[in-house]
Amino acid sequence: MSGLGQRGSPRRRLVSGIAFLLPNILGFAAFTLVPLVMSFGIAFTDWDTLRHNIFRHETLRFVGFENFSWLFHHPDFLHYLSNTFFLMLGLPFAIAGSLGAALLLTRVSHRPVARRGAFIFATLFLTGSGLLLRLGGMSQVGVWFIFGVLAAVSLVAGVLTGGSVYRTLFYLPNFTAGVATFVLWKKLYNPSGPINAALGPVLDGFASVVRSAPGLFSWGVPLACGVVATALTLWQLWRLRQHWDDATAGTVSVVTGLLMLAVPVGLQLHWFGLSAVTAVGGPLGVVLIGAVLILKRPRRWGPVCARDAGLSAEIALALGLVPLLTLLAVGVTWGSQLPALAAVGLPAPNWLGDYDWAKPAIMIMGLWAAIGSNNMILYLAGLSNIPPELYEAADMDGASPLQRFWHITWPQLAPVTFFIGVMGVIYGLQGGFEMARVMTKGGPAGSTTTLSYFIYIEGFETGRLGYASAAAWVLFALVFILSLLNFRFGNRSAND
Amino acid sequence: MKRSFLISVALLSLASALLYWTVPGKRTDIPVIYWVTQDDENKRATVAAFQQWMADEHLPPVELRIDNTNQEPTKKLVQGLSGVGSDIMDLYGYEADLFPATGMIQDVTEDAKRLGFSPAATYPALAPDFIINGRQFGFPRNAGVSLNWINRGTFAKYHVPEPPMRWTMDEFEALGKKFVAAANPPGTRERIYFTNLVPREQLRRGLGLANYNETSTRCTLDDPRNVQILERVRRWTVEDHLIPSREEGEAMAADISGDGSMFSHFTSGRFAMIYVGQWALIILRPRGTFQLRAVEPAIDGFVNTDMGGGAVSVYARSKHLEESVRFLQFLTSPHFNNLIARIADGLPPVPKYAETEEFLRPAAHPNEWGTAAVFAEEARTTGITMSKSPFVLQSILYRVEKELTETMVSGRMTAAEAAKAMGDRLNAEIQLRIDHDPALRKLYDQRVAIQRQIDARRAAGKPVPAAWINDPFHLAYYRAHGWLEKEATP
Amino acid sequence: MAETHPPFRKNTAHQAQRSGPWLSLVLVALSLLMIAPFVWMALTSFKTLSESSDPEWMPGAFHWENYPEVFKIIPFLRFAANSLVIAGWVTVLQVFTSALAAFSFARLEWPGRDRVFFLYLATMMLPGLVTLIPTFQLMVRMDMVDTYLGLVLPAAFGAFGTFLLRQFMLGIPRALDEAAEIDGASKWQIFWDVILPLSRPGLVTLAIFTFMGNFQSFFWPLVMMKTVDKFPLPVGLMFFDTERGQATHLLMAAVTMSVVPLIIIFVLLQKQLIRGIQLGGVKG
Repeated sequence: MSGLGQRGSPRRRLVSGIAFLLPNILGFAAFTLVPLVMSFGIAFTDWDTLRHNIFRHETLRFVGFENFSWLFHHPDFLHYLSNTFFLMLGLPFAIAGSLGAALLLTRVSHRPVARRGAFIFATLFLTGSGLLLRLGGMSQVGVWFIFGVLAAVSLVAGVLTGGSVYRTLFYLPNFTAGVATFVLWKKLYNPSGPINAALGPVLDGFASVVRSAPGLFSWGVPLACGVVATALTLWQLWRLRQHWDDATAGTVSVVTGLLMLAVPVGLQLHWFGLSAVTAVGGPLGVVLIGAVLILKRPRRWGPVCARDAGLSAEIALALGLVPLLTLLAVGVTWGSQLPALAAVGLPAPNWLGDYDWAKPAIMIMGLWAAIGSNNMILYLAGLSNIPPELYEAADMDGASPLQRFWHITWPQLAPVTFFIGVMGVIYGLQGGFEMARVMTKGGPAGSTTTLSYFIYIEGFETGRLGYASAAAWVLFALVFILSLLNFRFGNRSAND
Repeated sequence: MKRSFLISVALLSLASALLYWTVPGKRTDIPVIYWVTQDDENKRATVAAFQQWMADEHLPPVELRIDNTNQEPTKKLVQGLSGVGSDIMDLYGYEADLFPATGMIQDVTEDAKRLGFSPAATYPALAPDFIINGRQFGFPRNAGVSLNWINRGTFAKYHVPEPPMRWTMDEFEALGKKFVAAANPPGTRERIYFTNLVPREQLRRGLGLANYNETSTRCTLDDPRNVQILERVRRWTVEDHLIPSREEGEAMAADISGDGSMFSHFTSGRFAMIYVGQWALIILRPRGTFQLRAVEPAIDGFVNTDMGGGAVSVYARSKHLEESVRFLQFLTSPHFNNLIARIADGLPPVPKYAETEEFLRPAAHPNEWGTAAVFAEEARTTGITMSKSPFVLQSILYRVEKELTETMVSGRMTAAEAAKAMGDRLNAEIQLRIDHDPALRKLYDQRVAIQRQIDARRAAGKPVPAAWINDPFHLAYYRAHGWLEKEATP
Repeated sequence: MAETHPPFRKNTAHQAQRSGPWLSLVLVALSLLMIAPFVWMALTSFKTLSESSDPEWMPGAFHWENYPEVFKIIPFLRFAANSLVIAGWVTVLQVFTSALAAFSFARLEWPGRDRVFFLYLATMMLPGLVTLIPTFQLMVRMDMVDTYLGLVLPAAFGAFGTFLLRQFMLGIPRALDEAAEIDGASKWQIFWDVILPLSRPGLVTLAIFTFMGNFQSFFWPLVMMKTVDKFPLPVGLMFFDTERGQATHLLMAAVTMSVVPLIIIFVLLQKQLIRGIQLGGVKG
């Protein structure tokens, strides 16, 4: 596989390479690179906008690493860092969501049965809504009427446009200016707002169910969650061992798989009351033991496989397994409190106002935005580029839908997933600033303050730009390392 | 594809040319100054009044344009520090502290004396808001205190007696519990609160405690009196549900600027009282006619209210300094003050205009009669501006105090821990700043020496010279208790 | 390049047995979920100010006058036009220069190429906030504060477009390049006649992303602009957020209206996108 321009001297190749690059790199250098380098320098000074500006000509002092050590001694630095990482937990869901949406959109059928079905449903919705309207009058059930009509219209439009109207509908969240979306959701999350109003009856129903069998719930839920979580963890351990024996997983994959498990286990221990240090140390120790136990086993089939064989599968599985296990851990920790909560009527959470619910609220909003987002478009483009011959071959071999997805669709989409993963990490770690500024001001009690909002406050509200730049470059280092890892392991499979 | 690309470029060029040529011309004969403030009818009326006043004073005409993006302090800061700030700026909250410290606000002390908008022209208690280290950096465009607005209808609805003008914290608690019990029968989904917040700084001041000591060199929030107040606040929020927790409150305030729905909750009866300034009338008037009353906040001990004014200042690099400074002079004119009195945007900065019949008893709003007089009286007698320190940025104080109080209310910290943390963090901040700024360090050392003398005199029961005290609250407190040396009459 | 249209290749052929009328239901349900906040927003735009803070979805009465009211308070059309033109220019510049750069990274081999590419990538990793003030001061020095140019240029040369297009171009098989090279095509011709048309899905995708993203950008224009007539729409919407409270109902009306041109542009562009994808379905 020879590239273009292999002919010609390195100098000639350089010239032509740069020639194409020139328009972009000129602008890039001027508007991106220069400020970047400046901000790097600033991070090592004590630039304080209060003292070093065009009005007070104090001299800038070079302070070396002082800003950085300050940062690590800040009492809340770890808190903000963990907030930033916590919000990233939504990334796998976002990827899954946009992939799922793209898959759904490509399956729209044009067969007459489907069209007829759609029209039937549309008529049903219209008449149903009309009836509601007659019975209830505009104000009370007006909303349902509107939704009914919308459903009917979408169904008909879906048939008429061959499914492309759904694409637009899914992508709709992206049309509002980011700030407007935040304002919108802030209003939605109002404790006496539409979301809680809709949740109210559901929670009431659930509360009465729980109240009718409090004992069952107080030990049943944690028990069930615990059992499932333990089963899943054991299954993953067994699976890793199997793959090692079968030489389908290399050292790196096994270690990665084990490390991923350590996250929910550590969280669970922490929620049980262990200090953060023990909660982290414990699982890590377990990981080490597990690694040793597994890796020391002789391979069943002799030949050794590449060190990072099977890594992409491992990561994919972890992306799904870790959030699931985390949710189960939540169930174990707080499931026993269900009856107590139900006794007071299981109030809808205070969302943005509640210390524990603020971050999940933001993640839910993020998920909503992510389903029909740019990532979905990328997946649509990627899906359409998969040669149908692959699917036809699989069909002839009698593959199930799951196998079709796992062995054809997912690997073919690897370059797109890789891109989305890298961008997700980059923007995810840097994000949260606009959201915090508009919706929560970093509260309650700092639970939604990410590193980027912290940078904003330090840089713009107190004027200590040197300090803020240092924090930004620490963030940069984090992103850089994660992207590097992503690159090394993801790029490989993307270019396979 | 290439064709559509070329077409779009052509279209864009056309549109850009159109847009560019239709921007209102910058070149006019008369100077244009920009005022960063709210763009609404009140401000536009202010601009008109300014033009009128300029004409009446036979001054050369100036065009005053409003730049509305004043909600964003970042923008003002970034533009100001880079030399392209707007000529006239409204300063809000912590900006009144931060912006002059950067040097980008014009020092107008001399102009003020010459043109008549020195501190003597407005409420004396307001001076610390726009005077820093003896230099003047602006002039208030309104003044006011915050009091408890009472919705008489809400009290009547639940058959709960209204509070008296002056009341203690215990009376507040008792009445509050009574109200909340009456208004929230079992099974209520949407809780009704007694009030939206209690002013912690004023409660502390009642007990004799301010944010800082007399010379503003040390944060005194770790004092046991603060623990008392914090504990009360926690109890009122979490146990008695008299006030929404900060979390609940912020969730209720469902818009960016945060004030809007406090008023709708007040009018709809979810708050029996709200603690806010007189400018609330601007929002309340369009929403209907409510029977209103104003009472002091419930404070034990030294009665005080929170005095503040919106300051207007001039940008140091303005291209039209003379004209911009004239605007500050305009703020003392009858044109401006009568306008403020009429639209009830707080109290007019010049006190005598708060004594007119039109202000005290506006003909169109009999439901408000009595409240204006209370506000004017409190501004004259009990108003004290916020305690500030040159060693700590107000924004930091505000943020630390708020976050730690929230943490305490949510149960993650005890009141004692929160108070101690406040003191520790803010005192560490002071040390940080004086470590980095030699000029500040000099000031700090000077003041610490004075503080030692103050402490010695207090311990010996001897009076203290007023000039030694920097903090406005301590000054008023000492004066009220007779601990000051007899002041030589000028 | 022959412009014949290959027969429409449905990837869904093999899945026809699975989907049916029920799929439409699922899609509709999901769509409703996605647009529910918008329904709320549109409904709120008809409410009065006090109603806009209530949890009720439906307004008491439909206040159509909110919409003309928006035009009275802000020069909505002007703001929208500003946004459209600025975003348009950024998109055009970004797509064009990124395509050139991506070609250089994806197809040409020159010393130091991968290192420079990683530099590009790395620049995206720094939070934009800390480069705000240095960039702004740069603008001051170039005298571009409060100008349209100052809004277009810094946004037009980010690394994102180059990254995206490079990935797309990497997916194009090299057999075509080599064939062209054998025919004696210069690098420019290969770029212009072979790679560019095949990258159509990538180009349109980038155009959509860039346009939408820039249309929504708020913070940078906020800091850069002083003349009200040059504000783009998100900054202009701030006029509804006064120090006395937020005129939510009017804000929602303005936002609802601002969505309309975007939907139109998206519908138009996505047709291009799909056609391009179908045409570009190259045999693997």
